[in-house]
Formats: sequence, structure tokens, C-alpha cells
Amino acid sequence: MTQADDTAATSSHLLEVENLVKEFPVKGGGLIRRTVGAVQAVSDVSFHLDSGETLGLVGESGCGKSTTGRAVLQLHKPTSGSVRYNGRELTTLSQKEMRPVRRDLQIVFQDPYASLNPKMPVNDIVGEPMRVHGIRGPQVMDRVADLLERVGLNPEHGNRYPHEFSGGQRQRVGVARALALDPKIIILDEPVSALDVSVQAGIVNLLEELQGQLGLAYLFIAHDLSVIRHISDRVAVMYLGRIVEIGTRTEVYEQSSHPYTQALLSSAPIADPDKERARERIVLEGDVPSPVDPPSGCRFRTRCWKAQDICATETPELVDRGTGHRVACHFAEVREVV
Amino acid sequence: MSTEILNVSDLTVGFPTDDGLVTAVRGVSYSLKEREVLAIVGESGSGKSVSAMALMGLLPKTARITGSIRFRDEEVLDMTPRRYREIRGQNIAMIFQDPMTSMNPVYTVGDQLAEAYRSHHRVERKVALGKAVEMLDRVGIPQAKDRARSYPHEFSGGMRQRAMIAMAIINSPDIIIADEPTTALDVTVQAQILETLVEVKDSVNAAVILITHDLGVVAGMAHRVLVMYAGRGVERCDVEDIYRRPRMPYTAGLLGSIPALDSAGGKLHPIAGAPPSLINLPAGCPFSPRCPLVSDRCQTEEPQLLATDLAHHEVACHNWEQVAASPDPTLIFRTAAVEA
Repeated sequence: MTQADDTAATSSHLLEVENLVKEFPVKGGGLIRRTVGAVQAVSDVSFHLDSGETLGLVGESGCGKSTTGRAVLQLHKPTSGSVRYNGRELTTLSQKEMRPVRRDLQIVFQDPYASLNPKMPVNDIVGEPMRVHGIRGPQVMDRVADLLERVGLNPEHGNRYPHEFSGGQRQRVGVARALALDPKIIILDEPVSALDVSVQAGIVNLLEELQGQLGLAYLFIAHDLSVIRHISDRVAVMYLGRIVEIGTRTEVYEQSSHPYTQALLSSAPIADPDKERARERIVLEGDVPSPVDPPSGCRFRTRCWKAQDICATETPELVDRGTGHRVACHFAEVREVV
Repeated sequence: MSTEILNVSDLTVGFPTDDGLVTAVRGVSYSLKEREVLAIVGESGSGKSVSAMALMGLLPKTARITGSIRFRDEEVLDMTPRRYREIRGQNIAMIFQDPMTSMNPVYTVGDQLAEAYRSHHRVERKVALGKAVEMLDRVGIPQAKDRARSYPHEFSGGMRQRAMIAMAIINSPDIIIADEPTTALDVTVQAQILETLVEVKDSVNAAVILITHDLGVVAGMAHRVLVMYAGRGVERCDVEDIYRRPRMPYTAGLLGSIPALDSAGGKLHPIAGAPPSLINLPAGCPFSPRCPLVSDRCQTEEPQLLATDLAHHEVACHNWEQVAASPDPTLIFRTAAVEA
């Protein structure tokens, strides 16, 4: 994919997100509850997604990765910016116009305990998207049985309720529901974070198999750097509402060039005592600043060991370091950290 | 050579419930030497936290605890409440997973640390507060004197966990029990906290029992490892052996389930199924329904934690020799079917 000609490339991507901004108003106290500020959850985020590929969106809590996912689906109406699916602008669509598009864009949530209705048997949960979109009759039941089998569950257990399943099985139900309408894109919002390690791997394998069979595109949101490396084709690293580095997984993990990416990767533990104890770790000072009042210029500068005056005055652009590997840092340079 | 300071043997903890007695810990044994870091690894429901709570005497009165916990030459389970209070905090301290719920929201951080100190030292409040500030400074809290006057909610998650560590070391304990100390934290903060924990435990010469599910954290910190499954210790060895020479199929399965950070890696080899319910344990080995090496004996006779071909390495598996013979034990899960 060449980045040279942006206008020509626009229509060729399945999903194209440009300059996406999402702010949440902060209300003051008192009777009138005036807006006194804004949480700048997502600031000027751009990326694209092609069919059959996985884009990993990684960052720490509060960096805006989940909000980005929801703003793409219009579950949070973006403050500004553009989200184009198959060349069609989604941000200007009404609720009613958006509904048919939702068939193609689905989501799987983090918590398989909270995201399934405890009063509905699994058959109804998986069949509900079809009913909502006007598909009725006996074919719904056949399709549900087929979907349950596809995600590795026994269709005979379809009349059971969510509490009768383990966490991993529940997450499989969530995946089956997302598949019900033959989507093109699935947003996976921390789909394995709530699961035990031995169960997590099974879900990751399932997602990879389904992608191979159905040609799905995934936006995989997670904080676990090992899982992101395993599943993604390309990776975007977020910090305080902005993408600081984006590229293929090899570029981001082996030629990481943004200081934050380097700190993040060097902090993640490796399950190998020799490597883990021999590593040089970049330990960051302090905490993430508040998104209500982010630092001027580069948002990472308050914790960065490379920060200079320019970092406070000039916001670094995502600059292409060749082959689409883009880094937003005035002093970007490759450093091996894992 | 360092001496043994803690010896837990055949510890069993049960809770009476409406569905019958739930045995969360079933005969766990381990020992801890001075300044040693022992990691207790397991998934949710494996009994790793309950065994630590038993050590601290923090379980509800209804809990049925049997076996033996010896701290130096004293039996902890036979102690009078008064003696127990003396050693708790003074000799054995604990760091919990969630620092928000384990600190009192209506007292300042400094007051809480000072209270911990004054419960074991007859000093004036002012002296204890000075000690609290010194400890906050030692765990890397900037402007410790001012921050001691803050309330827990005014601290970030990482700072709260630092304050918890400061509280744990204020009486220079012999043993620090850290129960998932970094699970609630982001990865860059986790790195800071683990670094602090290692520094302070060296400075007070404490041994650490690190309870975690994260094999990456274990690799960086532990000397010895105990793997728990369904309330039992299933493998116990030096830290390198866990990663290089596992003898228990479950341990090998865990290793095969973790994607690598430092390489793109191939397909993961997960363990089929899910950990068993403690109310309804399978007969024989509790891991047998998920184990690719299962034999008839596994379904009738629960294996004991016994010596293997390696020194200081015990395993509870009838078929450990098959695991030992495999060039890459994680591959024994290769053919395991998808969870049904």
C-alpha cells in the first residue's frame, strides 16, 4: 500500500478513519451545570483497515482506544472527523440510515459476564441480531445452530442461559452473536482480557480461524502487547488520545521508534527468566496526565527522556519513516527493546 | 546458608456453603527461606489467594483450616489472637491487589501508615508520622511529607500501590505476601512497582510470597515457583525449570498458551476446556479431563507431589516421564481439540 496518493487510496480501503475527534463535555456543579471543559478522549486519529487484515490498537487505560472503536461504530457520535466504510461517510448518517450499515460492522465486548443478557437463552442471544434486521422463520434456528458449532460450542446447549457457561464459552457466544449477520468488520474490544491464560489462547485461535474462513477485518483493541503482536498484521500505539506510532507488527515491535512505544514494550514482562533478567528496562516517571488538560505540543513530553523545547510548542505529526511506518515524534529513532 | 522461616504443610481450607463443603485449598505444602522469593502461580479459583489469606488469618470464622503453618518455630494455627496480632504486620505483612479497597478512604495515607507502625511500636504519634514519611519517600513517592497528608483517592493507582508497599515494610517484616500486586495496573506502572518491590524487600531483608497468574512477572522476580491447580500444588521447582523443563502437563499447557512478546510466533496451543468447579471435582487427577496424556490411572487415583528426575523439582503427575521425554512439552497440546 503506497501512502503517496491519499485521494486515490481513499476509496480502496474497506474502512477509512480520518482526523477522528471525540470529546466528552465536563459539567460544572450547581443548578445550571454549564460545560466547563472537555475530556479529549480521542484527538485527531486517522487509520485505515482492509478486508481480511487485523489492525491492533494498543495503549494503556484511558488512552482512548475503546472510545475510538465505539466512535467508528457511531456508538459514540464523533465530535468531528470522518469515518468512511466502503467509501460511504458514516458520521452524517441518521440512526435510521445507519441501521442497515450495522449489519457489516459488529463488536465483541470485553466482559462476557456483562455483555450477555442473563435472562435470555443463548439461542435467543445469538439470533437477536437477525430478528432486529427482519430475518425470521425456521432458518434463524438453523443459522444459530450453525454459528454455535462454528465457534466451538455444542448447538444442543443453545437453550441454556449465560450463567451456565464458563467465561471462555461466554466469549464464544459473544463472537457467535457478532457473526450472525455476516459482518465485514468486527471490532474486538479487549476480547480476551477477562479470561484466564489457558482459555485466552483458545479464543485467539478461534478468531484467527474465523478470519481465515470468512475474510473478516478486525480492529483488535487490547492492552496486552503479546496478544497484539500475535494476532495483528498492523499495529497502532495510542497515548492520551493520539496515535503515536503505526506500522506493520514487525516495524512496531522490532523497529519501534517512538519513545512511548519503546517504554511500553520494554515494560511488558517476558515469560523467560534469562531474557527477562538480562533486559534493559525503560521505566517511565510519573503518571499519564489528565485528558481534560493534556500537555501542549507532544502529549508524551512530560514523561519523555528526549523532550526538548520544541516538544512543548509544536505537535509532532505522524511522519512516514518509509513503507507506511509512521511515528509522531520530533526525535524518533529506532531502538531495539524486545 | 539461609534458614527456613516459614513451613506450610498439608494446608487445607474449606468453606461450608449451601451446596456442601467447598474445599478451596487441598493439602498445599511449601517452605520459604530468608530473603527468598516464592511465586505461587495459578488461574482463577486455583486457591492461590485463599492459601495466603489463611497464612495471615484473614479468612472468615466459618472457614475450616487444617494442616500446619510454622513461622520460625511457632505454629501459627495454634497461636492466641494476641500473639497472632503481634506477628501480623510486624513479621508478616501483606500487599493486596486493589489498593483502592484495601486502604481506608477517610484517613490520610500518612495516618494509616503511622497507625500500622504504632500497633507494634510504643512511640508518639509524631514519631510514627515521621516514620511514615520516611517510608513513603523510600518507595519513591515525590514530596513525601506533603503527600502523607493526602487521602487515598487523591493518589493514582500506582502511587496507592507504592503507599501499600510502604505500609507493608514500615515494621521491617520477615515475610511480605504480595497478592497480585500489579494486576490492576497498566504495564508501564507495573514495571515501576515491581522495581520498587524488589528494592525495598532487599533493603529490609524480607522474603516474598508473590501470588500471580502472570508468568512474565514470575520470570523477572522469583527464585522458586509453586504452580497450583484446583486447590493443590501440582509442580514445585526453581524458576528456570518452570520455563525450560516443566514436568507437569498443565504447566506446559500454560506456557504454550502465552503469545511471545519477543517474536511473532506460530499458532498457540491452548489447553482444552476450563478449570473445574471446586464443588464438583473430577475423580482422580483434577487436570485429567483437560490433559492430552490422560491414562486410566489418572481417572481413579489423584497423584501426589513427588520428586522427579531433577533436583528440587516435584510434580503431581503420574505421567511426568512422558513430559520429560518430550523435546518441547508445549507441543503435547498440539492435537488437543477445540473446547466443546
